[in-house]
Amino acid sequence: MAKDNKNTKNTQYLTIKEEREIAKSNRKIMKQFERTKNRKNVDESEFTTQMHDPRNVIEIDNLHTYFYTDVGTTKAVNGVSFKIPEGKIVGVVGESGCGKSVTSLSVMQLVQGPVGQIVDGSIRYTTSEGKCYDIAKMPRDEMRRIRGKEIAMIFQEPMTSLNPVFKIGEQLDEALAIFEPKMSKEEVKARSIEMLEMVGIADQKKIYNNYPHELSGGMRQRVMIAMALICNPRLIIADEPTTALDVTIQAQILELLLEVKNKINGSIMLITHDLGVIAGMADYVVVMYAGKIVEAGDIHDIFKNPKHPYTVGLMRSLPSLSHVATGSRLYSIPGQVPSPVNLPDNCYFCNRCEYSFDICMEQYPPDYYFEDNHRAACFLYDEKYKDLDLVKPELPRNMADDSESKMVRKIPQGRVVLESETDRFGG
Amino acid sequence: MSNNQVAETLLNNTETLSGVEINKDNLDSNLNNAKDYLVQVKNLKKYFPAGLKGTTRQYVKAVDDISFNIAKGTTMGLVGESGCGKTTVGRTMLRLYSMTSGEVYFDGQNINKLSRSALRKLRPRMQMIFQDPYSSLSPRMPVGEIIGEAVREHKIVPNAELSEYVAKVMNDCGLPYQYARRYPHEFSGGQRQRICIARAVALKPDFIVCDEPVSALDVSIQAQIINLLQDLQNEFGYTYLFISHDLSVVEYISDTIGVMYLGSMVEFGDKKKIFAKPMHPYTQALLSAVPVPDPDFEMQRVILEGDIPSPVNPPSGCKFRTRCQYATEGCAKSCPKFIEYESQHEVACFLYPQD
Repeated sequence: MAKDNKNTKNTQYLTIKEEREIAKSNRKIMKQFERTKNRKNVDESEFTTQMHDPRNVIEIDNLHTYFYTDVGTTKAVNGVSFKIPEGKIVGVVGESGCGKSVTSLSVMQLVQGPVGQIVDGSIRYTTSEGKCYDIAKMPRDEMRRIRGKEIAMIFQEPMTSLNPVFKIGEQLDEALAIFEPKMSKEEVKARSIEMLEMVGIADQKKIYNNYPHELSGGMRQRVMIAMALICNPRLIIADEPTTALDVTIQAQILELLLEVKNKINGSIMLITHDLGVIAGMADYVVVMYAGKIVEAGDIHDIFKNPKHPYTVGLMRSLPSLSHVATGSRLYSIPGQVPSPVNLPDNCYFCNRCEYSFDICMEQYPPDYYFEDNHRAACFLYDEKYKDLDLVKPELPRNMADDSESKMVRKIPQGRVVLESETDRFGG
Repeated sequence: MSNNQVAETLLNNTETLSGVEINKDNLDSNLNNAKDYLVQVKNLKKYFPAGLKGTTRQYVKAVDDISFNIAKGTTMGLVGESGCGKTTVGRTMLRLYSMTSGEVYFDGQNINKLSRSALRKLRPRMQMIFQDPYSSLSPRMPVGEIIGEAVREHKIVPNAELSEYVAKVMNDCGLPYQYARRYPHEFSGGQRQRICIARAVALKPDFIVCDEPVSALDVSIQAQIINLLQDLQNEFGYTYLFISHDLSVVEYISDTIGVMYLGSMVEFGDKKKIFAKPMHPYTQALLSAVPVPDPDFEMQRVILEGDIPSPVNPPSGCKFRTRCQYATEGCAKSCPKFIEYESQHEVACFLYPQD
């Protein structure tokens, strides 16, 4: 993390004494959290709640996930709220370290403990049996019934998340053997092979007996997807599923994800830093910055009419066709993400923001709502400051415009007719 | 199998020799242009031995007969899937790997024929920026030393002016000189990549191989680094070989583009021509697979079936035929020739006339 920010300079180095003090108080806090999580035979009423909207699969409300490290509390997720409607794909975008992965791990209750803890907030989820649980409050034992079966996850690195000493088949069977104890071994195997077929693996019976290192990156990711889908989950969390893959393989995997989503009629939470992937996949987008959501909205709102300066900055920093045509410089957001240990009280983006004004330095902006579900946390949209004639961030014309002037690349397929040939036939 | 393999290798080598002669004729006609080329690569091959010693020797044909030229002060982009040999091309060109066969001319000198001392003299003129800014910087050296070490070794500036020079280079690359005594772990990814660039630039090179310099970085930082590379090029006239798998970045930064597949070049040419009119089916598929950050954009994706074949046993004939939807029987029999169909646009594919 960058340590050249002026406001963090004084707190950069801690004395051993200070560090010990922090560690001591951390231990106390962590012990408390772990104890509540490890309780057995907890009454169900304690973590049963009501969904605000029954059409949602999951509702994340004011989620706070902190890491109690020896140098201070890292607020990785700091008040995140969004929901995933049934059968929809919600994309979560942001730079590395902005808390997108920690959000997804919190939903799975997989945050690395005892250092990482869900401190506050609720994650409401309705199981396939129709019961509504708050995952943030669930004890560890109970969570086991949901994790893997109801909510499944596809991890970023297929090599590190597959166990190298077990065959693909054994790893696939494992989940079914746990959740469906009544199934016989043959049935389980048949189902696993069926899943491999569903994710487009040609020689399923051979692959079933292979080890992970014998497969290519794209194949491994397919196996990961098969593993996630095997128990018919209602929600799939895909944490950067294509980042480690090539563009051609990425196209295959994304196509596959869309296909299986429709087959099992589930929802997907798609975490990525690639705006291009989001644009092609998601229905609803959440933009995160330093542990908070800065903007959220419908896919068209975010891409055509982004409001927050950070979202606009991200869009403008992508090399587009107009950049290439005019040879203009890429826009780059100056500065760096603030250290998550010492977050300021003001807007986290204000020192990188060219639109910031007085109030931005003083407090963190609340969410301002626009049409539908579109919201942005930025003082530029406060009615109070309407008279100041603030300049609002805007996308360059050709990105926002729906008109025909937009440059769209048409890629020819197959044999291209050359100019010299047309000359020959024409003249 | 082994005998076949050896025979094939031998055969390929003889082919190369004859290929060079043919190319020389071409070269004579282009001699006037040749002067403008800083780097010329001719029939470059790099095979890595695979398998255990004593058993049948197989070879990974990481780079298999590649030729291209880079003009002075321009940027050539090299794209392709992982494992297609992009990085090997970059490294072999700088003689960080010894080449199996072929020639690389740097400013008119065949770098494969240079003696150790002559090569050492040439080294500062050819530099490399590595992919991962986290593992390519020594964690035990302060930044000033990382940048200044090679400058001192190659006596780029007198020792008395060294610290001043390092400060200037750091400033050019957007790093304040106060950071010279810090260690790499104290920097963020984007700043580390700036250090890597400063280290390469400090030697006043003519030619820099950028091996995926932005793929480990976030979008907003990526734009900073690309701008920096372009500013440096405008100021000092560097020539870049920009290796990347991100086509939108390559399109933005490059003047010419080479598309590689499984160790071979399938298409080479001017950026505008390649992006406007991709001729090879692989280039078409690659371009169509690039995600466009626009939800209204309906893509006609050409989804390639399967994976890239093993470079140890590449398919016979055209290497792309196993995944190509236009493949015919003829594609398996012989290799398509790399032919220039319009100026600055060369393709190797049987879809186009082969004479």
